[in-house]
Amino acid sequence: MNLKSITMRLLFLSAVNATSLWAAYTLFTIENWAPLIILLFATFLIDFIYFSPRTNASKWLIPGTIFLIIFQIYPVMYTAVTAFTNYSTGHSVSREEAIDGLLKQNVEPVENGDQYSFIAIHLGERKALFLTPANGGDSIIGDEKGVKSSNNSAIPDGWVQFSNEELKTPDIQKWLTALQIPLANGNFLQADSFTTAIENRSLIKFDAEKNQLIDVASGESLKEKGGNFYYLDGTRMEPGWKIWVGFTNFTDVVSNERIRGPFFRVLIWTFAYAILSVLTTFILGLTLALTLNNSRVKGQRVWRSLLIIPYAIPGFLSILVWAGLLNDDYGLMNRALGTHIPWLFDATWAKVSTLLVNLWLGFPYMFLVSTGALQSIPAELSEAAQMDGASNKVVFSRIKLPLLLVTMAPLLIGSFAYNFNNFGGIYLLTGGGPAQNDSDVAGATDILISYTYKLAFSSGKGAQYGLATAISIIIFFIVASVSALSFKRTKALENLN
Amino acid sequence: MMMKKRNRDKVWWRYLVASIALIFSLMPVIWVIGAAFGPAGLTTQSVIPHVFVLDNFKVLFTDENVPFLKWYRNSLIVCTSAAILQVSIATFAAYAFSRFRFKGRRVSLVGLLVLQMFPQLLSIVAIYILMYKVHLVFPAIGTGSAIGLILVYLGGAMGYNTYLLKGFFDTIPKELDEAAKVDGATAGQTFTKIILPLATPMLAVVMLLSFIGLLNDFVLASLFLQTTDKYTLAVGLQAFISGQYEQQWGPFAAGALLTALPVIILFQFLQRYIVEGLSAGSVKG
Amino acid sequence: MNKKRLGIVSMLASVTLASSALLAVSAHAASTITIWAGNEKAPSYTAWAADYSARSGVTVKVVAKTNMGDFDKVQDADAPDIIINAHDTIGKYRADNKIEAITLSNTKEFDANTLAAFTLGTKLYGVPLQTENIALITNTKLVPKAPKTFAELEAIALKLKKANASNANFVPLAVQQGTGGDAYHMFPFLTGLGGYVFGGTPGKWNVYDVGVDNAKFIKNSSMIDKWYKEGLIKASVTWDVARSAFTSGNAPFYITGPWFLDDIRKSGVSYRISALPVIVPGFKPVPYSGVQGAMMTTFATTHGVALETKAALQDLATVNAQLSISKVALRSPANTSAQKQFTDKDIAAFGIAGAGSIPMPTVAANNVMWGAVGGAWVKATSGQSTAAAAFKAAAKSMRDQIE
Repeated sequence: MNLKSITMRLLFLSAVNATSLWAAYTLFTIENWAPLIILLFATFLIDFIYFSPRTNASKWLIPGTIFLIIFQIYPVMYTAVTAFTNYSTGHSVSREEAIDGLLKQNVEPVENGDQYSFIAIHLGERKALFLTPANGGDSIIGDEKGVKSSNNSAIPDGWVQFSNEELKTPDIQKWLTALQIPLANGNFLQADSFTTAIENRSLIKFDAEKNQLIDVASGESLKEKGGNFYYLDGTRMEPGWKIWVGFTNFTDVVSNERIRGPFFRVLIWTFAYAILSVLTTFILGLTLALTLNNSRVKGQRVWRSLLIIPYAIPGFLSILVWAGLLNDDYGLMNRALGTHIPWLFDATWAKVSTLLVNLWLGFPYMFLVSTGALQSIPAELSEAAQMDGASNKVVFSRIKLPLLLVTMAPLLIGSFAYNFNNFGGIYLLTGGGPAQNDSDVAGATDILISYTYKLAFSSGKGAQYGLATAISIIIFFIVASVSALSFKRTKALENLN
Repeated sequence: MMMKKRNRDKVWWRYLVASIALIFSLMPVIWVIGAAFGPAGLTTQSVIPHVFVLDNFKVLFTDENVPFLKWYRNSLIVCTSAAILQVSIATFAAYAFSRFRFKGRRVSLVGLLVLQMFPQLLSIVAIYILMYKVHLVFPAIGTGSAIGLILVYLGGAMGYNTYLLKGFFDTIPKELDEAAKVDGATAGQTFTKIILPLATPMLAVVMLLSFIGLLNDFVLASLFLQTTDKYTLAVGLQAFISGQYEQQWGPFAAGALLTALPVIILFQFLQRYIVEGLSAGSVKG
Repeated sequence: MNKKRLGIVSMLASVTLASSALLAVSAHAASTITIWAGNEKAPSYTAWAADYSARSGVTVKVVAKTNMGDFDKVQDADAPDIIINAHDTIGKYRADNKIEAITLSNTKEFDANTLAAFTLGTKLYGVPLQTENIALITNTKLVPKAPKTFAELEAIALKLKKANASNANFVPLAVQQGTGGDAYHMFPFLTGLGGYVFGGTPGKWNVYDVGVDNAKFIKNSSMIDKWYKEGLIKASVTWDVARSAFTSGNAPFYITGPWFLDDIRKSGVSYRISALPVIVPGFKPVPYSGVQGAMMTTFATTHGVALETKAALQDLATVNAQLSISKVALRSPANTSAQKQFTDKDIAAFGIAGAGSIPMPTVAANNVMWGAVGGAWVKATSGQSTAAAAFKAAAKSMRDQIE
C-alpha cells in the first residue's frame, strides 16, 4: 500500500476517533450509558473495518450504513412498535403522567373554605408558608407535613422570607405550585398565587401501595381498564395512558367491517394508480428524451431546461394549482377546452385527474434520467450496429432499450413504490374523494395510505397512531413483497449485459 | 450512400412533440407566474397575466417577518452540502455493490430498497424524538440545527440513488477494472480514475435530483428549524399558505419562482456533463 | 511515528472541543413564559406581551407557529407555557394531558356560552379571547335593498345570474365547499332547515342524539336539491373562488367570516353584513361560533412558571388586554365589557349576525361530523345524490362511529 493511501486512512480514522472520544466523554459525564456503549462499539467496528486489509466492501459501505441505521432503520422500528399499543388521543402519555393529571383535575375548592394570605419562608433546607387567615385570626405555619399554629403575627425566629425574585425561580415556584398542606379535616391548603392560598379538597387520591386510584368519599378504588380509569358512575376519565395491546390493531383491520369493507377496492386502485403512473411518466419521459437526443435538434439545452421546470416548482404548490385548474365550473381546463368535465367530482374523471397531475409531476424525472442514461450509452455501440446495416428502430430496441432498462429498472420499481405511498398526490388534489356510497371514509381516489390517514386521524376517537401504524405495516408488507418479487425478475435483466 | 440519406431524417416532428409537451408542462407554471406578478389578492379566474406588478416580490424582500434572503442562503447551504454528501455516499455504496462480491450482497440491496417503502409520514415522530434527545446532549446537531437536518437527510442517501448508480456502474465493463488492476491500481484509484469519469452524466443527474428533492423538503426541515431565521425556503414560504383561510398565493408564488431559479441554473450548469457523453471513448486498446 | 503524532494532536483537539461543548450548555434563564399562537394570529399578541412583560417583570415571548400540530409531539424544553387555539381543541388537549384547569376572578364579564366553550365538566380550561362566526355579506351595489327572507334572496340571486349568463366568473351565492366539503360554512343551512348535529345544549351534548337526519330537516331537504338544480349553491365553489368572486364584484351574496374582512375592505366593493335570512319559518339559520382562547399547558408546571402563567392568563382576561388585542386581531373580544367598548362597526355586525350561534361541540364525537356532514353537502350540491339520501347516510355513518 502506498503512502498516500495510508495517510488518508490515518487522517480519516483520527478524525473519527477524536470526534467519537469527545462524544463519549460528554455522554460519560451525564451518565447516559446506552448511547455510550453503542458509540464505543460503533467506533471499534469502524476502526476494525478500516484497518483490516480484508473487509473491502465494508469500507465503502460503512458511512452510508451508519446513517441508514440511525435515521431510517431505528425510526422505522420505533414507529413499528407503536402498532402494538393503543397510542392515540387520550392514550398518549404514561400511566404516571395520566395519574398526575387526573389528581390535579379532581381537586376542587371547598365551599366556604378557609382562605389565607401567606409569606413563603425558609430555614436552611426547610421551606414553609406563614399563613394569615383572610377573615382574621391566628396565623399558622404549614408545610407538606401539616400545620402548626403560631403564637405571634411575625414569622418565627431564624426563618427568612423568600424574596420575590427567589420565589419566581423555577425550583421554588415548582415547590410552591406542588405544595399541599394537609389539614385536620382531610382537605388541604394550596397556593393559588404568590400571596394567597385556599382550601381545596381532592375527589380522588392515589394509593401507592396498591397502585390504584381511590375515590375519597367512599374509599372504593376506581376501575381501571384498557388504559383508562373510570369514575364510580362509569364515566371514563381523561387522560388515559398508553398500553400494549398486542395484535389488537391488526385484528381490528380484519374484523372491523368499516375498515375492511372498502379495503379491497382501495387496494386495487392503489396498484392501478402506481402502475399507471410509472408507465405514463416513463413513456412520456423516455419519448421526450429520445426526441431531443438528436444532435441536429437546435437549442437542445433550452428545450431541456424548459421541460424540467415542472420539477423545479414545489410539488405542493403545483398540485393545488392543478386543483384550481380542474375546477369544473371555474377552472381553466374546462374553459380552454370548452367542456364541462367534472374533473374532481366524478369518480372516474377524478381518477383520470390524479393520473394526469401525477404525469405532469413525474415525467421530468423520467426525462432527466433517461437523458442521462441515453447519453451514457457508448456511441460506438450504435455506430457499430449501424455500420452493420441495422435500422434506427433495431438499434433502439436491441441495443439502447435493454441497456436503458438495466439502468432504469430499479428506478421504475422505486417509482412504483413511491406512488404506491403517494399521499400528497392524492390528498391535496381530491382529498381522496369524491365520496363513494360503499364507505363513509374511502372515496373514489383514496389509495391505501390516504385511506389509512383518514381512518386514523378523522375518526371519532381523535388521532389513532397505533391503528395507523398497524395498517401502514400491512401496506408495507404488501408493497415490499410485490417489489421484492419484481427485483428477483430484474436479476435476469442484469445478466443480459 | 444509404447512411448519408438516413442522416437527412426529418427533424421537424421532434420540435412538434417537444412543443406539445412544453404546453402541457408550462400551463400551471403560467398560472404561478401570473400569481407571482399579479396584484396582491389574486383571483384564480384570470390566468393569462395581463398585469405585471412587483408587489409580491416586495413583500418577500421588505417585510421584516420574512427574512427571505436568509432563507435562500440557508436553503442553498443545506441543500448543496446535503446533496453532495448524499451523492458521495450513494456512489461509494454503489461501487461496492457493483464491484465487490460479498455475502448478503443481493439481500442487502433488495433490503435497502424495501426499507424505503415504509411510509415516511409516520417515522417523523420517531426522528423528532431521537434528535430531541440528541439535542439535549449535543445542542449543535440536534433539533434546531441545520447540521442535524443534514445528518437526517443522509439517512436516506443509500436509497434509490444507490441502486440507480449501481445499475449504471454495472454497464461499465469489468474489463476496465481488470485492466487497471493489471496496471497496479488499487480499488480507490480504479474508482477515481476510471469509474467516476465514465459515470459523470449519471452523477450529474443524481446530483440534480437530490438537490431538487432536498430543496422542496418541507416535512423534515420544519421539524428541525424552529426559528424564522433558520428556515429554509420550503419552510419559510409555507407560512404564507398555512393559515386556514388566509392564504397569500401572491408572495408564495413569487417565492416559489425564486426557489425554482437555482434549480434551473444548476441544471444549465450540469447539462454540459450530462450530454458530454463519452467523447474520450471507453475502451482503450 | 506519524501515527503517534496524529494521535496526540487529535486527543488535544478533542479535549478542547469537549470542554467548550460542556461550557456551552446554557444555564436556565430568568423567568420566561412562552406563548404559541398560529401564524396569522400571533401578531395580535405581541403588543400585549411587551406591555405585560414591562408591568410584571416576567418576559413573555410570543412564538408564531406555522404548524400548531407540533404541540402534539413537542418535548419539554421546546414546549410553550400558554397555547392559544380554538375552543374545540380542549377536548383532545386534555385527553393528552397537555393543558391544566385555571380559575378566573372575573368570570362574570364573560357570556355563559363563551365560558361553556372552554369548560370540560366543571373546570375552566382557558381564557376566552375572541369569538367569531360567519355571516351574510351582501354587495350593496348589486343588491340595494336587503332581502327579508331567503326566498327573496334566492330570487334576486337567480335574476342576477341570468343577467350575467355570459360572465363565467359569476357566482350567485358564494359559500365555500370544494371537494372536501365544508360543514362549518354550510351549518346555517342545516339549522335553517330544521336540522341539528347533537341533541342537548352547549357543554352538555348528547352524542347519541344525532339530528342530521331528523324528520323536519329531511322534509325540508328538497329545497337543497332545488338550489342545486337552479345553480344557486354548488360544491365546486372553493374558498378561493368564493372570495375572488365577491371581491371582484361578481357575487351578490357571500357567506364568510371576519377573517376575510380585510380583503373585502381592500377590494372596494360596498358591502353590508347581516344574518342569513330565515329559510323556513320557525327555524333560525344560526352559524357555529368559534372561540379563541389561551390555555395553560402542563409544561408550565414542569418549567416552574405555573403561578406566573396563571397570573398572565388572568391579565389576558381583563378588559384592557382584550380590547387592545381585539383591535389588532379584528375580532370581537370575548369579555363583554370590552365588547361594549369595541368600536369596529363591521365586527359588531358580525356579532349581531351571530346572535344565537352555537359553539362548536368539543366532544371527541364531533370529529366524525365534519367528514360525514361535509361529504353529504358535497354529494347534494354536486348532483351525486339527493339531499335526503345523502344526509340519511351521513347520520348513519355518524351513529356507527360514535360508540
